Amino acid sequence: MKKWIIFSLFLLTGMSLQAQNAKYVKAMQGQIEKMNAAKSFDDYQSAANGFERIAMAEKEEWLPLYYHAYCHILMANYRMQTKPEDIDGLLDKAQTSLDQIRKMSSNNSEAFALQAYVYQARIWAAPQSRGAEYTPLCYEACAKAMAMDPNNPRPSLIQGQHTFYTPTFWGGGPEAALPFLQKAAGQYASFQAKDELHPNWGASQNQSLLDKAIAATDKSSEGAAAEGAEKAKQN
Amino acid sequence: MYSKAVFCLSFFIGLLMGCIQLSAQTTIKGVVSDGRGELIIGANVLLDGTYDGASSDVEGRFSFVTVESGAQQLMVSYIGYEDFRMAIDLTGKELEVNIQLKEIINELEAVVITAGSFEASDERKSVILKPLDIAMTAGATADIAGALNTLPGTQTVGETGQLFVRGGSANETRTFIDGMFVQNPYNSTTANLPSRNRFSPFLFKGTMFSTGGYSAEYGQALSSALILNTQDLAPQTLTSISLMSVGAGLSKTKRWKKSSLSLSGNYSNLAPYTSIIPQNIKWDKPFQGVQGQLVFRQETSETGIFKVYADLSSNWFAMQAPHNEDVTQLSKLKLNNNNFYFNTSYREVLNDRWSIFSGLAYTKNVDEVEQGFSFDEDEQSVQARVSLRNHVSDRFKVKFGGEYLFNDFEERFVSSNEEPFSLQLQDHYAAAFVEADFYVSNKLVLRAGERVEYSSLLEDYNTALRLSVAYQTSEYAQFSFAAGQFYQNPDKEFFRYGNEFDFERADHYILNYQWAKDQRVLRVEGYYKDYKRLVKFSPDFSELPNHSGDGYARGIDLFFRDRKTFKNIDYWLSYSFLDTERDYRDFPEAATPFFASAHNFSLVYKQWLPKLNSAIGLTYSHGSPRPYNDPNDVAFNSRRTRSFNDLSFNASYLTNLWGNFTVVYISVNNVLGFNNSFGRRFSANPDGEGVFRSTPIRPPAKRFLFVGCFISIGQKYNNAKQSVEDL
Repeated sequence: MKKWIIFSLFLLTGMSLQAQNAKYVKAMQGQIEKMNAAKSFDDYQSAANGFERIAMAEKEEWLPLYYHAYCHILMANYRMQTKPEDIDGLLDKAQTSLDQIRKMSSNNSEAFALQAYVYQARIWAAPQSRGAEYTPLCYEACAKAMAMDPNNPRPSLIQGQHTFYTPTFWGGGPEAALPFLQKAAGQYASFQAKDELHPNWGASQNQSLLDKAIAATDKSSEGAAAEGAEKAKQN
Repeated sequence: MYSKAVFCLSFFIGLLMGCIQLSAQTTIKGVVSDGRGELIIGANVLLDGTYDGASSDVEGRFSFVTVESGAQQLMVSYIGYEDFRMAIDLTGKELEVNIQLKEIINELEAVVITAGSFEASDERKSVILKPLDIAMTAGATADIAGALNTLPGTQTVGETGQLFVRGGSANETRTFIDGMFVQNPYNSTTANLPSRNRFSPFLFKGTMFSTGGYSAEYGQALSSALILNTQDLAPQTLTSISLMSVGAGLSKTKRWKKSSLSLSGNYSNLAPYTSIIPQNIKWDKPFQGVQGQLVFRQETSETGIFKVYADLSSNWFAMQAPHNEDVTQLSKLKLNNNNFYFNTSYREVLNDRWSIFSGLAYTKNVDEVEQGFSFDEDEQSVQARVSLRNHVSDRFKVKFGGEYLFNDFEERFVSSNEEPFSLQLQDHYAAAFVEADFYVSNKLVLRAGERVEYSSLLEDYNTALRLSVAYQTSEYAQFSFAAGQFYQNPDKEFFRYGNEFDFERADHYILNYQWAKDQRVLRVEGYYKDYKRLVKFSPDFSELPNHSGDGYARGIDLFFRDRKTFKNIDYWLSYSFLDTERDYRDFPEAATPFFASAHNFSLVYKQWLPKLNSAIGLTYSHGSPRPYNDPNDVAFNSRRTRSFNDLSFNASYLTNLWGNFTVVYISVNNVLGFNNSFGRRFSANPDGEGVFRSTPIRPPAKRFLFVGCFISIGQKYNNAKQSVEDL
């Protein structure tokens, strides 16, 4: 009888654990859908809040924190034109989540890619004066993320994106961004997310930047453009 | 066995029932607002430890359903507000809770006291200038004082090159580097040659220029404090070369992980320049100088930094200058200056509440002037300072500290036809201050400070009270008010004639309105300054030097800056109106001093030309006539200088020289060739016919042309030190 009870208890806890996991997956899926469908600042805020709620209940999971941070970066982007003074507050939120992830594991490539994105976003608040401080930080975080997972396309995308919007004089611009965006395009082509909850964003963002970069390079120099387009095709 | 089975079954049923019971649903709803009743959109409302929750909508409303029951924690959070927690009991009955979030007082967001102060920094959003603005203002040729002279509250006094603020003399503005008093902020000059600030604007990450009502942390300045904060760690290893029309420089910076060291040397020689460009004065030996500099930074922790700055320089020149006795006669005047400045500081955040700042500085300055006579001045000072800041709460902060300064001054005058004299002064100066900031809300802040000073030279002490308040009336507009007492030791030269002096005193009252939105700033500031206990004596010494002098200054300053309206264009306008009189020194009556002009106007224009990788700048400055005294007249200070006009131009071009980042810079002062004159200098004694002969005071040259090329070797493209748009 004792065995029975132990067995049934075991079964129950097992079931409840599984139920718990199913609940987590379902909740995450729901929020990811919400995030992917978001069309406004408030939509992203709502999705971010959802991730925050899950993160507070699931202290061992890094993905809710990851998406919480990601949503806040996108929210910061909405404020770039309208209210740049809000950007730092939003990014502080993102940073808090990334810091928590770093406490869980120190070699999370996706988290470092997002960290690079946060550094890039810091510049949106004051493009004229912050480039100096955050550009090296952004590239450093990209490099770390690449080293931790060479197949992760997002560090290449973020580096490409950063380079794209850096003035040509400082070594940025579409032409300089091309190699990174092409590399990212190649990585996206073969990238398989671990499961449906793991990060899987950026492919279309990369493609549209890549198209712009190729078009701009086309204008500036015929030869380089042909080469760039060829490289892009190869990828 | 049977009973056991029944037990087992009932156990399971019990568990199941429990589950069902747990599944009873409770709806929680309500409204989230802030303390002032404003609705908060997007606040996260949740039951701690569960997934259940919702975001507040555009009307601040939220509503969600939970299957949890019993005692739970409801939590609400939103950016810029403190987390809200509340214990609730879930019974299945609908629960309505209206939540008020409390604003977090954030120093970077909160209202800032702007009365009397212009801040240049990258950190705060409230700033009016960025550090690079100072470096890139046309007409300033990267001189701090030159750039600040385009701000309201300053009076152009072209023959000095120094800062004159709101009717105060140049000595009434004091410079502080990392909290430490700077004994000789300007290069030594004489004979109405304008001087330059010793310190390059590129050394500083933040500049606070106070035209009055400054913090109790600083003292010994009747009018104005120029507070400079040095850069932290150098961003990267770099070698820079500068080639200029007036000299050359080499600088080497090494960056380690947590520390950096820069060594630089400069040599200036105006001889080639003065031989090409026509000069108003005749140089025997045009200005030459050597300068060596060391900047070391060590991060002692994530929040702590130790800084060392040392600067050793030597300058000399010789020119034909008017004789004091008969200014129409010229003879050779020689000046040698040696200056050593050393400043070390340490700051650290000790814990959540306490942070500490400490500093130690030493200066030695030797000036030797010869013109038939010899006049030597030798001054050194040591200063130590400690201050602590206690973050009592987000709303209440206290700062207090003390400083000690020892100053040793000596001057000797030797002449064949005049009585020699010498003067030796030593002063032990000690001060303590306390200052508290109280944030009633993010919109209202009060500051009260008290400073106590003692000077052994004056054998006296003073206590100064300073108060200020700032109130934000709308998202973009605010009022500030400041009032305070400011003391300063009399200029050392007065001690040649007596020592019955007291601290000179000025009381300030300042009302400021500031509107800032979308890269546009408008400031209007009115002030009244009351001078007391100024040094006073009569020219024939029938009245011995004493401290019975007094005076006033009042005026209005206007400032408008716009970086928004025109793409790639940034401009600002400054206008100052000043009405001032004082009865001090050898004035026979209250009169407007020579350095005060009623109207000062500046227009600064900067345009970035992205396609050309270039930036151009124009600065127009105007100063209305200033009074000066003609001893041949009966009336005192009855003469007026010509009004001052200047249009300066600068351009910088960014390029690559052998793959190294290079800036080519050109600047021309007085492009239009206005014939500026700063009044006349009169002989000390009348000639045979009883006439005091005179000579006009003019700028050393009509125009000043500067061309420079700054090459940064090892600066990688993508490690851009600043965005081009800054320039």
